[in-house]
Amino acid sequence: MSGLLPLMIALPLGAGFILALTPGKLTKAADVFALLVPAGLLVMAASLYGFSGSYYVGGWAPPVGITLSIDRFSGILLTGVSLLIFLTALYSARFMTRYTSRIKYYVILMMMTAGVNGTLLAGDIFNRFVYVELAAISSYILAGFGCSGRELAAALKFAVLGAAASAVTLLGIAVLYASYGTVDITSLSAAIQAGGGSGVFFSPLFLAGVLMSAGFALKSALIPFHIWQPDAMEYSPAPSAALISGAVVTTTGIYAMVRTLFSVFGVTPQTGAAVAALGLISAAAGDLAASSAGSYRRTAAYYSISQTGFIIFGFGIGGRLGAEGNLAAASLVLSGGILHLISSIFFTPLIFLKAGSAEELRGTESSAAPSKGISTIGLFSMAGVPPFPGFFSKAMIIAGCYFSGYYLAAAAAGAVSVRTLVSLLRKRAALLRPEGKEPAAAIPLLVKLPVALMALVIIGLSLLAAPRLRGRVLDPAGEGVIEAFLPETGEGAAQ
Amino acid sequence: MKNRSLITVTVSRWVSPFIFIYGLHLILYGHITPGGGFPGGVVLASSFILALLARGREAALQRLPYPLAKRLDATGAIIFLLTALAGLAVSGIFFENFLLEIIPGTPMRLISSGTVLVNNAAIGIKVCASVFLIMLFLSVLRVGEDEQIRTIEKEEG
Repeated sequence: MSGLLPLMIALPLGAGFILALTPGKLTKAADVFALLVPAGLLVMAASLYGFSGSYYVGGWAPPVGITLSIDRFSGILLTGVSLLIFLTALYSARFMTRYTSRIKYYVILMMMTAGVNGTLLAGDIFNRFVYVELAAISSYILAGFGCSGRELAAALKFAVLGAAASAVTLLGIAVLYASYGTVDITSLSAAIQAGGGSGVFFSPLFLAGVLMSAGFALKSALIPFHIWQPDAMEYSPAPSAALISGAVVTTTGIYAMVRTLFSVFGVTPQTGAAVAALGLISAAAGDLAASSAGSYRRTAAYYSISQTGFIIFGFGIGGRLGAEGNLAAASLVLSGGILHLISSIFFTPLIFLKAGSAEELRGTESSAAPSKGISTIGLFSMAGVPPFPGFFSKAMIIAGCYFSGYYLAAAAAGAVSVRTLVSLLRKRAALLRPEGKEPAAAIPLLVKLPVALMALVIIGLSLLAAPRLRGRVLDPAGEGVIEAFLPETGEGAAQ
Repeated sequence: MKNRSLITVTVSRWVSPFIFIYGLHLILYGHITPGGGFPGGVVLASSFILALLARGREAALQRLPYPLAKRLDATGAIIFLLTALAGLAVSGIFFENFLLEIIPGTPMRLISSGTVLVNNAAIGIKVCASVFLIMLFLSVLRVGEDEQIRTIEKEEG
């Protein structure tokens, strides 16, 4: 089973280089090939789901070799992201015909897939950094793929800020390597725990933690570091916006940040509170900024920043509760955070893909408002309207805060989510066009189908909040996050 | 760029084959002496870049045409991946050095490292083509030279 782990990275890389050799005459064949590879990856990711273990590349054990590892947390994200990439590739086959070379787009898509999968599977922080870079550089190209002036300006801003974030992250890794002499996550976290944990201020460890968190916070577009995100989301082609918000931000930003803080540094009550505060600021400020944003896509971009903040808030509070030993509440909050993370893999891209469908219908470049209907599902899921997963995940996070006595955090998170709900419902009428003005049949089937499937997935995800499914899917994933800093459970589950 | 110094042109013409051979040496003996695929590839590319700097883009493209460089770029990466996948196919471990058991060779000789030599060669090809392409595009992407980009894109077909 663990033999599939290197293939999750090697297959998209190889497919990308084969596509780079494909002449332009074979674009139709490339369409099929670029759909088969994500389909294969989706099957492999689904069969890896629920499996935990590691793989030593070349047969070399950790201190020397490269380790790939998977657990319940990265497994559930791997499946979700693979499904998103498959659906977006399906959408792109028809949608990307308006741009110059579809094959070049597929090459970049494959490189991004390899980077995203590698970020989820890497077993040491340096390899994770390399994969984060692969995904990030691909996403700069994806953001500017249409080559219009505003797109290139947005992509350049994204690239410059992203490069600064990478430099900062790399500096953090260098500090850790200089202090502990290893980059392997298992031995590094053991060395850090032996050295007294991350509670020491103004130590090299503190510096490394701040540097790496800042780098990953820029990749996940948290508020002080978010300025690349609204531009890139507004001007880039719709599938690029969907991939960047759904696959790149969630894995190279949120996942990398959570994994680094939980599995490498180990969460203390203080770091948990700091992360939660960072998340809450983003959740509130993103919501405020969305209220005054102009176009549909820009509004959605700010709301997605707010949702990312909510996810980070959930993980921060969950980490603090876990570090304090309140495992039942920690499990509830982390399950809520993971549910919100997984559903954000689908609801944010859904919103941008719907914007793309509207552009397809009207033949405009960007910022056309989609009709009501399916995009409502994405917006309602963001807002937290009851039958959609966003409601359950936010409710789980707030309930966990409330039951463990963090009344202030619960009140703040509750206020932010109520405000998001009210402002999104009020803004919806202005953002969306009423149904029935244009014939829906004018949108090609290949553009409509993936969006409809995505909406079904979102509705299906709300079932995960049901207690029985929660115990089977979300709670094990939450344990995957939390076990790293709990030695008694960590020993059994690491193998 | 028309008034090129005779000294620059002649010396670059004499020197670049030696640079090329030195690059090949770095790649082929990368497993027993300092060097390897990446530095060797950069040195290989620098022999073409010297032609580009001293004698202009056309002279460099005559040696390493743009379509060929693009193909080598992808081919090098594919060879690297194929040796890794061959390890998976032969001995069941991704990146396993399976050739070492079949052809052990003599230590400290050219044939002594199994797949490492193949990997170094693949990286050398890939890096040579990539670095040359980066330099080529830097030489093209100047303000007011948009037509030249279009000519290069046309050659690509």
